[in-house]
Amino acid sequence: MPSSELPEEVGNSELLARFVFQRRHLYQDGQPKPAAFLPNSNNETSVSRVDSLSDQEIYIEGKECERRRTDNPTLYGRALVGNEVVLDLNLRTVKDEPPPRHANIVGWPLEQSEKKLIALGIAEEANGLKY
Amino acid sequence: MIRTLDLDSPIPEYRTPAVSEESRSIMDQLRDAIDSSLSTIFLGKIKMSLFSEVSEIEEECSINNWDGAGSEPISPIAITMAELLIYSFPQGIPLPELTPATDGEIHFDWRVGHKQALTASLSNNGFLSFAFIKGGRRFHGSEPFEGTFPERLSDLLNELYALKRVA
Repeated sequence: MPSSELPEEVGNSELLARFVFQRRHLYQDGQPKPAAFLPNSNNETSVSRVDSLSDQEIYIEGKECERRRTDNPTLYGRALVGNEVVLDLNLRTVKDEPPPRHANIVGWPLEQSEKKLIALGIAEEANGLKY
Repeated sequence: MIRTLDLDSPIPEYRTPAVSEESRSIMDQLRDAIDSSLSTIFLGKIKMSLFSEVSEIEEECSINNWDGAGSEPISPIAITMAELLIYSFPQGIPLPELTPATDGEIHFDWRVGHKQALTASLSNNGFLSFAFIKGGRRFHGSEPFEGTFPERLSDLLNELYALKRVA
């Protein structure tokens, strides 16, 4: 699988997309819930680097993520957030390709309520959209 | 003539000019009792709708990798914990949204507006963890769940919704 030509380091204000494959992770108005950003069992949150992409291109990127997954998911929406939000919450975003544009938000604490607060902080700064 | 009570309509006023003060007082007490019963019924309806949502989540998230992020199924214990929290809801609690999460728990989400939100969940070992944001004020914590609606959650909901004390 090819990689993108994006720089190794994720820019401080680079735009990130969290694609949502669980319908309950978005409010009715498309606002993401904190659970949309909680890390997986590896303590990482998967995102796509979508800086300079149009809304249409971001949607296509989301559908590509949907296609790549093996669990037959449905793309319900996306949440866009700048990397500065991640950095302000003492996390960081690291390139993790392939697939192209893939990155992980890492550095999550282990304590549950602290994770919740960080996820809540990211969700409240994100621009959500239901597809 | 058979009269039925329409739960969606306000309780009608039963006033006649010929009723004594004592009778009027009895009628007022009866109205209060009916109001209380209807509130209880309404709270029951809220709880039933939340239980129904928990059942839906259990069905949707009962398989491995239900979220595509490698998460394990939402466990029966997590389901029970969510139901216990719902059971403890007193009257006046705003309706939350229920959300399955990668930590295996069902989260209770309340949101009033931008940067005005509260999220909470009960872990499998009975610990309530929560996070709150209202403007510049951010707060998180955890405490053991003791079967009654957590006072900390009540306080945070009061602050979030700027209500009088709900419980």
